[in-house]
Amino acid sequence: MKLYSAQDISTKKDKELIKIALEHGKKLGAEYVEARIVKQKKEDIHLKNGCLSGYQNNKGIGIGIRVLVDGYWGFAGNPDMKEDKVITAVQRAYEIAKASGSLKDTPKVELSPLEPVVDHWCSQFEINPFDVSLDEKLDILYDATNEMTDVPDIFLREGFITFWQDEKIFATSDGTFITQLIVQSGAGISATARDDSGEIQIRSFPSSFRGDFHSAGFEFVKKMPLKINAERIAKEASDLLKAPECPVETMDIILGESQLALQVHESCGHPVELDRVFGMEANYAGTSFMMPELLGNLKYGSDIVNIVADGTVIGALGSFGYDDEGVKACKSDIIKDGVFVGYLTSRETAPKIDQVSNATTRATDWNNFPIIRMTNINLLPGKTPLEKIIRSTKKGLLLKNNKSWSIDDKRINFQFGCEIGWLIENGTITGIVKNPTYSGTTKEFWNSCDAIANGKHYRMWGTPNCGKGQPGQIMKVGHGVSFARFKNVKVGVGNVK
Amino acid sequence: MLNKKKAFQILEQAIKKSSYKNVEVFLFGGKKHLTRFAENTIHQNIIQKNYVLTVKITDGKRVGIAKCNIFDGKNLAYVVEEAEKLMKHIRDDDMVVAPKSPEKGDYEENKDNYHKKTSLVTPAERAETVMEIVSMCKPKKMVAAGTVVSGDSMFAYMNSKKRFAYDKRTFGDFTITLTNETGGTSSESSSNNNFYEIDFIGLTKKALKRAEMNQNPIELKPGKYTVLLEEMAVTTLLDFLAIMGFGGLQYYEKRSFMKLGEKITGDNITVVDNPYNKLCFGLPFDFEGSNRRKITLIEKGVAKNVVHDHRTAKVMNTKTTGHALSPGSSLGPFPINLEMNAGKKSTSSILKSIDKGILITRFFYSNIVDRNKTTITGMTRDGTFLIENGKITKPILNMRFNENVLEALKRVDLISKERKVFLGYGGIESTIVPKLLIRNFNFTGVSKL
Ligand SMILES: [Zn+2]
Repeated sequence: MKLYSAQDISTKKDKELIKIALEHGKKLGAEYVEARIVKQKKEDIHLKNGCLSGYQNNKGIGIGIRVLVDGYWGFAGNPDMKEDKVITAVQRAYEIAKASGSLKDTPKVELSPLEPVVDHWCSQFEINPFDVSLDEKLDILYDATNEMTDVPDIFLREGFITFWQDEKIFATSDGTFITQLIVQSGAGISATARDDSGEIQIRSFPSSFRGDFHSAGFEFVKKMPLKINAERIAKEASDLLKAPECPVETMDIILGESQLALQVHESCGHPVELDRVFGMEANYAGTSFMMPELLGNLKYGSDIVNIVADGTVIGALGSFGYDDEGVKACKSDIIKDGVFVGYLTSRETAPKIDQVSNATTRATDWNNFPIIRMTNINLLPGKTPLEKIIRSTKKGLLLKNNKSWSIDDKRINFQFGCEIGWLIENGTITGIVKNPTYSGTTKEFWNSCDAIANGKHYRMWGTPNCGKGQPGQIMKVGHGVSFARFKNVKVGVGNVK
Repeated sequence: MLNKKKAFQILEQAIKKSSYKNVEVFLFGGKKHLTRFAENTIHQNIIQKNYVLTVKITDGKRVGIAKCNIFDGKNLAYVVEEAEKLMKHIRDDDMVVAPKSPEKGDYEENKDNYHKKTSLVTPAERAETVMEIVSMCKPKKMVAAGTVVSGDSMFAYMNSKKRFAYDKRTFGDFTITLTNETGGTSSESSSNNNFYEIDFIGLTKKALKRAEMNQNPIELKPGKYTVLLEEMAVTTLLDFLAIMGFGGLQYYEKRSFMKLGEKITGDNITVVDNPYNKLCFGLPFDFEGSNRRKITLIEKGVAKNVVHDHRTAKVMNTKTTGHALSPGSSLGPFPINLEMNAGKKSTSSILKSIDKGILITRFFYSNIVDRNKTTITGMTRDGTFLIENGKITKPILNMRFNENVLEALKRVDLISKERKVFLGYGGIESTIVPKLLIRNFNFTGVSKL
């Protein structure tokens, strides 16, 4: 394993450019300047029926300059790493900040205090995937998808593998200088079946929409049990064609794995973003029903519901050393014993509720303004064995792998669809249903949570495609979950005609 | 912005770096200035600048692709090497097509899309626009959030067979969401290649009027209602149809709802993909350098065509329609300039014809529920109103719908003669739609704490 030092990330030239940027910003009159050089690599392979269906091999570099002038922000992104171009970018950011402050009665930005820090941080990995040959990567997908070949009705055998490498250099006029290297890897497979009538069903492993992702190296992908699950999911996709439609009624549901992760993401992660609460996303992603007056008062869920935001989980997709404001990653309570107790905050928003930032501000790349993003939002495991949860369910559905998600702009009313549902009758799984959906409202739903599976099934899941902001920014976040049961949930939408 | 000469220089250099005979290169990018406001103040104010080069190399049945955003000699060599590396490792693929020689009747550069003044809009000008908007909202106790955008973009294609194309354009964009004292919202949007043609004040006035109406909503029980979908809501139906079946790849894989020659919607529905509408001139060539063609997708309810790129055209034994996306995209060919036919009725006469129904400004967070039936779900947002006896009477709480898009398009009673244009990415994507009156639209839930 190669050890990456701060010198590997930040060259002499990078340091010089950053110094020039910070000095020029101060010279122009900015009270605070940030310079963020990001060098990114991404490789993304999509194999379909043994052929290359999609491929990305992208390399990008640039510098983002954010300045605070008389209490107002300006930001400029610039891909050209030449001295004069960086100076132009600083000038632009400065002029933009001046314009931001030209509105009458605009409150000035106040940043929560931060001690300057000089540090280097590297995510843990054994094998850098960008040092691994293409053949080795492709073979993982060929091997796994080949297992589906003989299963009837399967017409699409797909495999996905993705690697990212972010080298970040972040410096501020307050004296902070942080270098970070984050390497992330993930993969997944899916099988799509079709019958004579043209109906289509899909099953994926371990998660839908390209798989599961971690802050890890190639070793993570090598260990994924794609091959041994390939035939099983293909058979399930085929079986779904003959399975009955999800009933339309009210029953208990058990959510697990990536579907529970997404439920946490949409109905807890997003509404606790403090910028949404203050209307900063009102024009796009939406706002939140979890307003500051509810902090400490809202019974968000049942007593067994405990949710934390934790940017420090080793190996999780939403982990980092420092956020894009230079705040050290940390862990904080969001829901404690069912009560709403905390937000995701930034240096700009935290002071508005008399707090300091809990390190959740990130930007997709050098070309974007950092905004509040989820880190790893984890539903802590409970005490009940999963088998016992199933055994004690009179009538219910066990749902896995998301197919569709939708939630309103205040994060109240949601509807999710899954690939497969296992029908539970009197404590036993009796069959599968196709096109399962469930819907509800956030508070009612989480208060109906009467069992959370123990640590045996608890693990981190990676969501690489969380969207927010204008211009749109895609972020990689994580969720730790096991399984959980929710009582009396509306399932099925019926035969929509 | 990279002009034609400079862009072609970079593309030529990239092609020369490869020892292979079949090389295609695409360069796109530009500048985007975005002034974002919320809570009646500017809170995120930025300029983004970037250009991305894509190199695609083919050799027989093999293809290699790589991208980068730096164009010095070292990085051009790197990106070409990366593309060649993939080509050596990948297995044969029947869909791979070598680059083509120049087409007859080559594309014409469109000059109407580039407005010099739009490329020069200053941060101060955008801030003044926001100031004006906010000064209209504050006295009415409305909170404004939105974006004022200006920018330019360029797209250039070149291949080793000497086919080349270049397009540049500017764009302006305005979106606004207003929130009244009771939490009710409204939204408006407009985009134009010419920033100065956007009616910021007029749209704000419209949004103010809507937000004033959207107070103390009543709850309507889920069920089937007649709906008047405003243009923004109609774009959702069209966008999901595109995702579920207008592309040649979905059709080839038999995942599309398009059964060519069969009736799939009502007689009154026609959908085309048209990059040459004067309202929003799209990119005249695609990412394979092919001339884009106007394609009729649905004609008077009958499925007519799907769109193709070279890859799907090859395996389906037809010709490309000029709808290739960026090389390496899994999606396959895709229509990006959709247009639905206008009707004969004015909006006001449509409204008058409704005894009881719901007016829907827009949908939010929509998603596919069941591809087999083209069923999608989503929420209403920014103004959902009850219509009684031909008049908008009361706001209602946001509702969840689950609806089969093709079936809904069989229940369209009236179509407005007015249409609205929405521009997308870099000013090259567009959607033009009318308002639709649809019977028995299926609502399944309400947004309520
Ligand atoms: Zn998200």
